Amino acid sequence: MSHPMVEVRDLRVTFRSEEGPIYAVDGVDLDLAPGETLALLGESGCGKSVTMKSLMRLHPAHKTRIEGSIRIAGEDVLAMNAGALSRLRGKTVAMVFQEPMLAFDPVFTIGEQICEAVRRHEGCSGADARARALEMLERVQIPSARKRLDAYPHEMSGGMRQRAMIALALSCQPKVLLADEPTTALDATVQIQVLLLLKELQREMGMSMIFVTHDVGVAIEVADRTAVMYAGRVIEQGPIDSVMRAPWHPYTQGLLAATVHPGMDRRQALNAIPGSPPQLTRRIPECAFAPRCTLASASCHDPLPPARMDGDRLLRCIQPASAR
Amino acid sequence: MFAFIFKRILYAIPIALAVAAVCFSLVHLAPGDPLTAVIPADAPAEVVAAIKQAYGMDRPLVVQFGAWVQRALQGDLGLSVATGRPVMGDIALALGNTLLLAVAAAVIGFGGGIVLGTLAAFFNGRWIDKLATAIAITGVSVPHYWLGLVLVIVFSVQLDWLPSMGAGADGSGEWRWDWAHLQYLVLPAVTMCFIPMGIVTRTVRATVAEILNAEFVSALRARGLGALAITRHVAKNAAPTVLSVMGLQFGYLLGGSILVETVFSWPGTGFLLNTAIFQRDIPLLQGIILVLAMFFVALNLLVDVVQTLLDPRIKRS
Repeated sequence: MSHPMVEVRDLRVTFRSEEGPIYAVDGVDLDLAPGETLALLGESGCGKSVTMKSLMRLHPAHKTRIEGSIRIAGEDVLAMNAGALSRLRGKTVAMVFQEPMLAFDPVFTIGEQICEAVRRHEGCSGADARARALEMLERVQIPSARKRLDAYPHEMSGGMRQRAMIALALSCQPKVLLADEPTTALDATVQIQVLLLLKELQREMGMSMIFVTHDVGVAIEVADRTAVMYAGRVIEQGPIDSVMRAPWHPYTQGLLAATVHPGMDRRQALNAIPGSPPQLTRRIPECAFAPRCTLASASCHDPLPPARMDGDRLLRCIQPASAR
Repeated sequence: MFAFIFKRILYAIPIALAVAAVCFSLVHLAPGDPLTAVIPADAPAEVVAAIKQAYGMDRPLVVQFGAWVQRALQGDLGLSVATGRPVMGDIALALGNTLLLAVAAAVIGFGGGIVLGTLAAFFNGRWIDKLATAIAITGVSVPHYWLGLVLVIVFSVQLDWLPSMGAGADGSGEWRWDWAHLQYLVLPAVTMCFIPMGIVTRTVRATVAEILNAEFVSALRARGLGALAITRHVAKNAAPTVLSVMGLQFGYLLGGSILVETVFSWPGTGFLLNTAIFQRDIPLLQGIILVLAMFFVALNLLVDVVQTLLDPRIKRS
């Protein structure tokens, strides 16, 4: 593996709230090579989006504590001052949000918003920025792009809006694209189109991408590698094919058993994992999945040791392979 | 766009007519005959009838209303019962003074409110927010005629820094832009600015805080935009709500300054209205209320149009 584009080590994100601290992310390690796509997989509330926003330090500073280290394109993100941070955001790392209706400013046109970002980072003239905006809208295959430049977000369909969001995110040719469930809010037919478009643009522009999703099928479609999250931790990481073929962690096994996948028997019932994820209002030193795990033994309730590397795969579970 | 503005103006016409009807009938609904103030109680019946005829008050109310509106449209609001002068001239003079006072109070109040409200929203929950909220609540709650009296006691009587009455040393009511005249404006304007300041602070705080919590603001940060650019986005989103409140507040400043103008003997419409009420000067009373009400209608129209210009989600058809 060449020099990593994104390198996250022991990331911990704690939110201060009225009711006390929330340990949203508790020890996440991630690596992303240039041109690679990583699917961050997990259920709602497991810390996927929090991890993504932390990479750009988008959480309100006075309510959030971020520990560990984040390096993007060789730079230490947590050590950056406000100026360096704003040069990083949108230029080196860009984000596609889940709900484009909420992520666009409703009272500015799509064109104005793309131009604003381009001018911020490229320092070019208004006319050049507009030309770039038009080029980007054409690149994401928005029909009659010239007209759409002057459209407001509410005047477009959901799929169009997400394409425009992608155009905005890619307008300054970022090295890393963070896609936070970009297809979740879309119709099934539009989902696959947007997915294919993202993959194609990623290949053309040679970007790295972290793709957050709770949809195993989508993850298989886009990703080279996957990191599975549970209760604020990455519990398994590896090439997507081998993780999908042979999941090691009991949670990943449960997640796949609860998912419809190609080649499964239609009459077969889906197996839901019993119980529900833990509250993150206390720091959980032991394996957070142990209370729901069928393989759990007494030692699973001891503090969880660091992840084990095994070839190109990573695992955070103390049970021997024979038990799994 | 012009079609939209034209349509809005057309919509305002029936509203203006209805407002005129209310102004006209309010005065006639009040107890007492409009002419009792000027006619001695023992005047012979023929004289009363003659005066009534001269003022057109013997005709049915509907006819009187029609004639009044028709003349009002030509800028003729009749003659004052008390002074015999054309009502329109007195109102125009007073209106200039009231506008001056209202604009001064609005500049202080809206400016202060925007600054306080924005600070409160950005520092939501922290001491700046609590301070701004406390100022806003105090500003809205304190009766402004009482505040006016206190200011007079402190700054005119005890410190002798500022004059407490009138709009000019010579009492001519003629305004000039120099300190000799401006100093008369300070106390009434400060007195009047507190209510709009409190209301604007609270509106701006609530609106801006809601916008800052919206996901698009964090998306704007994710694009690498700086504080200034983000403030521009927040301002344009907050403007329609804040402007509509400010429009309404400006209307209240124009029409609701009776007590403050009376306290400071400021020769504006409120002061004139007070005089008209006590002298039972019906044409003057009607005229002032009508003019102030028309300002309100026009302000609402203006706010509507500006809101539509700022927020593309409001349909223009």
